[in-house]
Amino acid sequence: MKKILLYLLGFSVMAAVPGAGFLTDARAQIVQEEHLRLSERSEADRIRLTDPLPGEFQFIGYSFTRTTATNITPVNEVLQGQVIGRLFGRNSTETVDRTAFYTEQRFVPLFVYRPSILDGYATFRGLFKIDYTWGDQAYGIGNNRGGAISGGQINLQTLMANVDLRPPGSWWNMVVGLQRIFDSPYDPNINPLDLFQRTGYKLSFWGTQAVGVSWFARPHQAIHARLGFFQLWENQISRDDDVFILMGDLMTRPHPKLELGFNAWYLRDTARGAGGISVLGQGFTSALAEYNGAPRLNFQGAPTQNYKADIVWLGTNASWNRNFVHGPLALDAFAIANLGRISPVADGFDDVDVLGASFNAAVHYRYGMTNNDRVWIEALYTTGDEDGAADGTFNGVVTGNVWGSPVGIYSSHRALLLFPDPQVVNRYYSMVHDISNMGLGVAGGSLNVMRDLIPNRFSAKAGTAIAFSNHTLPGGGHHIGTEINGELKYNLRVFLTAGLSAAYVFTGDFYDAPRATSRTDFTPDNPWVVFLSLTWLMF
Amino acid sequence: MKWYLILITAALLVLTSCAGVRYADKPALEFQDIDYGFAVNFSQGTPQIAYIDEGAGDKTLLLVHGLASNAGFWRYNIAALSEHHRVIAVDLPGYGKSEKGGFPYGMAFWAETLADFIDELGLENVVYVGHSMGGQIGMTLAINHPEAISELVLAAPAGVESFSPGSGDWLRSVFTMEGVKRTPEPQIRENLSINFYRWDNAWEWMVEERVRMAKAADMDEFAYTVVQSISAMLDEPTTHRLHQVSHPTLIVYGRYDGLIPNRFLNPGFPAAVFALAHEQIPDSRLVEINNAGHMLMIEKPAEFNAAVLEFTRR
Repeated sequence: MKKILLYLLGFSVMAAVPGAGFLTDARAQIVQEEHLRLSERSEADRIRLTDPLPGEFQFIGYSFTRTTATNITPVNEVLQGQVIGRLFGRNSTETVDRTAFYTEQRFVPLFVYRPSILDGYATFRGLFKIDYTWGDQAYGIGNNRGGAISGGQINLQTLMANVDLRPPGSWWNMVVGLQRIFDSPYDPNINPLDLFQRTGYKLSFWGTQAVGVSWFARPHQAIHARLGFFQLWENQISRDDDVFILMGDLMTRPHPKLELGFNAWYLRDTARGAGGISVLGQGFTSALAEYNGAPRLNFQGAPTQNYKADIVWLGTNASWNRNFVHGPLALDAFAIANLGRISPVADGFDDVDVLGASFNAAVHYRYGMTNNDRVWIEALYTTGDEDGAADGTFNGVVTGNVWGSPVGIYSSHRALLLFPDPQVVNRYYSMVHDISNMGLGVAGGSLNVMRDLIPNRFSAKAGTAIAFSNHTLPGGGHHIGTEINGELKYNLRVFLTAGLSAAYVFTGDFYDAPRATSRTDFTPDNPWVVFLSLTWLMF
Repeated sequence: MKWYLILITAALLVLTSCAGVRYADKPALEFQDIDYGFAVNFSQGTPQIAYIDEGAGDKTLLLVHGLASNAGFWRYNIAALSEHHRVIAVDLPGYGKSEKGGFPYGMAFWAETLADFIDELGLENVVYVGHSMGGQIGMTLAINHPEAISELVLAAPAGVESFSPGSGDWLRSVFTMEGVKRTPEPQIRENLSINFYRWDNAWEWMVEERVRMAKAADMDEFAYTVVQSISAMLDEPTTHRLHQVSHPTLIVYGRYDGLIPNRFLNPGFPAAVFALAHEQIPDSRLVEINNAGHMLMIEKPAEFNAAVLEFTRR
């Protein structure tokens, strides 16, 4: 009953707000006026002044090929084909005294169906992900090894399957089904990915897919809003044992140069640790959280690690002169707090209060002709907690990586190993894989210099990044690592880009702690990677 | 009481949150009401051409704007140039205050229309000054009606880079009338800023004009003209005909032109493209203006005017 009431509450909020009409719908008025004007014209003029109908079916594809040489490899046999999470973590990724060499391919087709009979009222989107690791197994499916010669791997993921309801001329649309859940109010169905790396929370908290309902509104050109309800885990359908999140996001424009956002999210976790990815589970006490480098809490002495939790995020973000419209200087920043309560399902164990915060700021300077001619510096700080939940409070940061993998994909730093690099296929790992840094908190930053050697065709980038853990692990220090990296990108043809990327990390004394390397007898070598890439955005 | 405070705060937040969009809620700006800063005359022919006519001299500079703009885009040049020459800045048919409708918009059509316009006004010693698409029209005019003009100034001209059939089709598909009509103000500002090396708030008039035009009675016709213009630039290329331009020609461009060559389809240095045009047009000279983008006559008017006057005085 409680669950039904919560669902009703979520849907009623989303249903009520569109009718509120709290701002003038200027764009809808324009549309109505245009229709009126055109209706007064001759048939010939109406045809001439109307765009031909777009095709009912549209295809957009993304292809990514990467050939990698590195000294990083997972040592667990089960994880050879796919490994995700924190480098040196429990996913068994380690540096080794030899070179791993492999090629991976990803193909992401997007099919859009907008039937003419509905006049654009409804659109279906299906997005799939097909990964190949050449001659290797795809994902953690051991029997699937040798896919290159048999070509029949089980390697298809469905990333989107949703219906977008968009009444013509309206100022809102509603997306129902499997869709992107990003930490920004912009509609990810109609905006490029790099917008989300520069706005909101830069995908650090939510940058994945989930089933649910999103209501996107543009009641005014200065306002983007989203209300969302996403079901993260549905365990037994007859029980209140699920994980869901309600998201409310607002982006405003109080000045032509300034975008200012406000966000409030509420996550209810009543799964008691049930569900999750394979044997890893999900939630605060799961191995999944540890894999991802998110906080894994432990209710020491409790007969069970099961719990219920209510987590709220309250945050604000801003970007000034994004895309360098008004000059060469651009700034962006966010601050967000996560607070709530985790209640162990065990007698005699008190609730754990949660209070953590994240701060990020970046300064960009465009010194040349294109937006690639720029220097930018970015800083990240997240609060941490040395003893997890042991003292009844947890002061670390909570991201979606607690419940899924990968969910938070902080990537605006452009580091390749120290922080997550999204230019990957099946092997996605980094040293600070979740901005919570295992709940210990992190202070870090990056500095990048980029230059278009040939405008919009050939670019070079050099960068460095550094990270310190705000709390140490027993036996270890604060310095996680310092990375130097470089990239060359050459546009062969439109949206077809070849790249050469390389990075080297000087590991710090953080890894002197056995828990940081997940082993007592292991001292990591400095990780390095060199990879060639071929990226093709097809449309 | 606390709830009232929250509501008031929320209301203030909502009210101030829209301040960054300045013109979308303002009334429509009809094309006839756009203020160019100069008196506007009208030709007698069909289609009727609106034009600014300033100054006097042995030579007449015929200023022709580019895609999606109008005669007002020469406002920083007319006064300086008209101190030495008669200056006529036209609105191409389909744009600005000129006649709009189902005309066969294209390079040849506009060239023919301008040749008729020159004839109607009895102009002699015409120095054609065309910006961007206006430059491609100028080359078409110079080739199809060489007698109509005596000299040619190509300011960041279109028509000097090649597009493969596939890339041309893609470019054509990107521009739709709906897209032209529905572009929101922040995107309009961003699109305009791409025309400049460094955007200056002094050019906010362009944003206001474009945003308020979206509500004008003739916006459908304007959007139609823009889409037809893009097709026409692709369908009537001049790249293979540059050697047929026999007039003394000045090619002047901004060093940091972000639109020519097309940054997606033909990425590269602007200087390389314009130098190639300079090589192919027999009697041409090339001038680069530093720290300027595609709208060089607005971004660096003094340098642009000086380059034109030096050319006409040679």
